Amino acid sequence: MVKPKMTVIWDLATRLFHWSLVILVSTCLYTGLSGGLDEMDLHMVSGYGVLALLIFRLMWGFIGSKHARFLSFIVSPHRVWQYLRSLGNPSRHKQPEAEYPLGHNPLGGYAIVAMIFLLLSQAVTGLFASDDIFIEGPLIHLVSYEQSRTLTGLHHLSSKLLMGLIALHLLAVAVHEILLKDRIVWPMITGRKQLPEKFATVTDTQHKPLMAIVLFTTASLSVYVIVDVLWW
Amino acid sequence: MTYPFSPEWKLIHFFGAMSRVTTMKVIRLMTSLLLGSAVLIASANPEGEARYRQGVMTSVGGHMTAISMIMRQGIHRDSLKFHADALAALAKKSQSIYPEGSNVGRSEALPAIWEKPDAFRKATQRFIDASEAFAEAADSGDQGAVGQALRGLGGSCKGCHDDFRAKS
Ligand code: HEC
Ligand code: HEM
Repeated sequence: MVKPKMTVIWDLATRLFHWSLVILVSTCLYTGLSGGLDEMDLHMVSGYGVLALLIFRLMWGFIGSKHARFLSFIVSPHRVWQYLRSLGNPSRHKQPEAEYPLGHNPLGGYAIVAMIFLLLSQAVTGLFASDDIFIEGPLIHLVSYEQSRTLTGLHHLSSKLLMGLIALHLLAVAVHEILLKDRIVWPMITGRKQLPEKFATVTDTQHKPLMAIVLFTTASLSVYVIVDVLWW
Repeated sequence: MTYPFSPEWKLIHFFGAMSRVTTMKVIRLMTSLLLGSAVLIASANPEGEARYRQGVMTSVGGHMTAISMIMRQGIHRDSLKFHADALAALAKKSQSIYPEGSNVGRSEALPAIWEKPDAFRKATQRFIDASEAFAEAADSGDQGAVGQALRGLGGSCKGCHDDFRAKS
């Protein structure tokens, strides 16, 4: 028996990004909600990590690898509709790529955009937030007390929206794994996915490691500038 | 059918009750009216009271910011005791800055302060105790004790803000 061909879908940087984000956002949520004063120190550090990852991801979305690019997974609403209609079709892996997407699916693409947007608003409002006790974001001096109150309120609000979106994301993953029998968790770990026969000619996604390192260094430096140089 | 609820019945009941009013009851009524107006006069300036309270709280916050910089940046260590004492003094004030009816204008004081006076008193007492413990720790100079007491103090702020201050 010939071993089925495994194709690289997710490059290394995108996977590292994904799982670091999982760890750091969980840390942010846990520490933020527990609200203890010691936890809040960790909250800020992990929040900066999230910010660095997001800045990296925004750049990676333009010059990164194939399936990580925004232009590859933000598609017309019509295709989202087509895709949703095809879900009930058991032979959909024989359908054109519109209905058996290799990277993010058409609906998932919008979920990624929503996730990045919410996380950005979360991290950016955090920079101006304060608990009026012991913790304040490093850019709080750029806004008035009232404005900081408002931004802190938005920080709380978007954390709730974020938890909703994360729940939705997990639900969608479960639907793929269990109902649609579409293995998507393992490929996000190993990068490889066993594709239907008709995709036999699809080539492996390029990792572009050098590019990823340069971009991530740039992102980390920007965060350093925000939290240390711009601090007062 | 209308008997217990009719206006006539209420009138009859009222006069019946009146005729049984004793001198004691009149006196009690007068006293409570007097006390009531005394409370009204005490908070006759609710806007001023609210702003005053915010001023006190801003001072509390200011000392906390200073303490935070001492602890995090390691500067002005010899002023720790000063800020701790100031906080302890301000904490003692915190029971008298909530006259009834003073959650007006831009005040973020929640009605729960007056609806649950016992819980609120506990919150102010916790603040007083925590600030005294912190002042003692600052006096001792023991870094571990200072950190521990500061956590307790911050917890007392947070506990009260969670229950009695409007969310941002
Ligand atoms: C017993 C309850 C209580 C405790 C304890 C308490 N606060 Fe407050 N705090 C309040 C309330 C209520 C307000 C809103 C006052 C208003 O707007 O009328 C407030 C407001 C504030 C404000 C905003 C003031 C303004 O200008 O609006 C700051 C800053 C603040 N508190 C800091 C602290 C710090 C720091 C501590 C602990 C060291 C603390 N508070 C402890 C009840 C408390
Ligand atoms: C992007 C990841 C982040 C997530 C998921 C997150 C989440 C949260 C959550 C859930 C809370 C508690 C809200 C509540 O009590 O209702 C919180 C509070 C807070 N966060 Fe974040 N946060 C993030 C990033 C940041 C950053 C980068 C900073 C600033 C350096 C920051 C500063 C704060 C502050 C100061 C508070 C306390 C506000 C208060 O107690 O009122 N956060 N955050």
